[in-house]
Amino acid sequence: MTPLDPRQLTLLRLRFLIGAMILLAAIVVGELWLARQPWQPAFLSPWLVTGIAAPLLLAASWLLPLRRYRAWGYDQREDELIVKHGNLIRQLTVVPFGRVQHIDIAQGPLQRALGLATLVLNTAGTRGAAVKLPGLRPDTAEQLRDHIRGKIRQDLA
Amino acid sequence: MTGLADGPRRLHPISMVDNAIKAAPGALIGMVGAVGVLIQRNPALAILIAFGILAFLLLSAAISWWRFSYDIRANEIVIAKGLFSRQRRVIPFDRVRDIAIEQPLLARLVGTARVRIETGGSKKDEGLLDMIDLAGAHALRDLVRDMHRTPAAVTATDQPAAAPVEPVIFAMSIGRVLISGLLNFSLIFIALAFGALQYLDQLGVVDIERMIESRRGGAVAGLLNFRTAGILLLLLALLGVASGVLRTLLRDYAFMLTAGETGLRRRRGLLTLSEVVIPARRTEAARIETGLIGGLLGWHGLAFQTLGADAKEGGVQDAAPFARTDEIAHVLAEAGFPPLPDVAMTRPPARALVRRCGPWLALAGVAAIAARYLPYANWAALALVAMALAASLAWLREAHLAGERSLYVREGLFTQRLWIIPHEKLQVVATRRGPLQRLLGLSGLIPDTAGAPAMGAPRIADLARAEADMLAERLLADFYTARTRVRAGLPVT
Repeated sequence: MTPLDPRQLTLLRLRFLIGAMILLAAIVVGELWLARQPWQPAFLSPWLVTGIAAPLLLAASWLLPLRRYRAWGYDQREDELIVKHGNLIRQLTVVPFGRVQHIDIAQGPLQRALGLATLVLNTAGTRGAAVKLPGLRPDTAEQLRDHIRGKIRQDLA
Repeated sequence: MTGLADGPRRLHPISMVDNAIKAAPGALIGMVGAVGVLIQRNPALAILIAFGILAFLLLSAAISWWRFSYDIRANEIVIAKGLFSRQRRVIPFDRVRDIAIEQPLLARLVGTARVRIETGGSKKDEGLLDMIDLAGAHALRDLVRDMHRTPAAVTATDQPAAAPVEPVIFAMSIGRVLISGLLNFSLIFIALAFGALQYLDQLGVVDIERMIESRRGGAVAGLLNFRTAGILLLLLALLGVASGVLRTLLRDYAFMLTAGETGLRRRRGLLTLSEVVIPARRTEAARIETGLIGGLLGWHGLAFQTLGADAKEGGVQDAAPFARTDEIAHVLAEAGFPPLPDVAMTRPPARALVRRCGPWLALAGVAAIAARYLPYANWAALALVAMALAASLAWLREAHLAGERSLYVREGLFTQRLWIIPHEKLQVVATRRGPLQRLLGLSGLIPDTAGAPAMGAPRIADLARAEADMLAERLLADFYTARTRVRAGLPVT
């Protein structure tokens, strides 16, 4: 299995960090609000929750995306693409190129900044209607796309 | 008897009435509401509003009839509609899969039909001619059928040759429809009736509380004793059976399946006659359903999963809703589908049972311990044990088989479903392993097909891991060989 581009790990960490920061901000606001209240719970010293949450979230945004990144993988065979993902529920999807209806290459703003792309294979299926393969370098994605396009053309001929 | 004149034509005028009737329930509810609120304060205004709504209904029906036209040309049909924003749709005949003809009660009384031009596109009402005369509908259907036989040889002005009589593959007698209705127990009508009652109560037309109150006044003591409850339940059951029979009779009366040019043609209905083609090329899988009681008596239902066309039935079309095994085998053979499995299917491994029951039983244990402190927890424990039991029963009924021409998947707790997925119809195959499955060395396998329902699509829930990987590879290999054979026009062995 080919791993995703290492920059995908940076992307996953950035995304996780953004979510963690929003959560942390909410916690800080909550603590500020609590500090203004006339009653104070005895067991809660000020900034205790923030003090615990901040390092935990930081550690999580380093480690969890790493696990997620390692769960991803793909294998480009002659006639099909195999995509593997998921940590808790591990899924392995096989898409025969002959079944691909159309191909998308998608890039979000963060992905563009990091030079990454997502390849989306659309089939006529229901569950496998859009098989996504993120974390490719744009030129890899384009190579894959052109290979698949050639295969579809062969298949139609 | 062409019935197909040159130039744009309007729909049958009766469609105005039909449209008005169709829009009526919604308008009526609004009318009842408006009048109910206003009648005491300002009766004149209330009546004016009622008439206004009625007039609007009729006028809009008339206008939409006036602005709707269809034109059958040599190679295409053109449909134009709309008052302010005109829409003109061209449907070339070589894109038309078939013509579905439906005759609701009103249409049958005046000799008209609703025609749906099936293109296999995703939109349902792509080519809907809501009410043209029946002769015209049949002429249009024959025209399209002839086109399929000898492409571009027939034009709209030619006399369409009389359609050949299609061989009947499956039919249901009235007796059989009634038996199937008896097993088609449903409580949906009762729920609907209660819903309607509640709505009327909200509008102040009926007062449910007082209705119940007056009963209670007469029989306070008797209301909750076992006999009354028993009678009530019996009544409910009878109503359920009766509504099931009625529903099935309305739908499946005079059920007939014939072998058409492009696929199987299905006609059925008591009041509303419908005629639908299940296109052979777009039939992706077969599903054989066996009910709990019906199964004991040897009855099964065959349906085909099709792509596009009628989204109303979730893409799964009845082909033989109540049939014996040999009849189903016959329909499958006529449709060019792989036969029913003739060897024993593979059951899921015994350790899969741990995954199915384990979590439920563990929760039941927790609930049983909690029962020492919480009053109702033992009931929860009992319910959880029941869940575990249901899960093991479901496990007991699962099986799969990779046949020569197709994959067979069987599943379902009460209603058992056997899916037949021809190898050449496979789209994407995936294996899935949850945490417990990894612990037990198991894996699920999901064969995806085109038009598969989002809920209740076939899947093999548990397989030994190595077996799942092998099966996925084998399905792929079978897909390529089957597809190559189909491409080459060879029979799929």
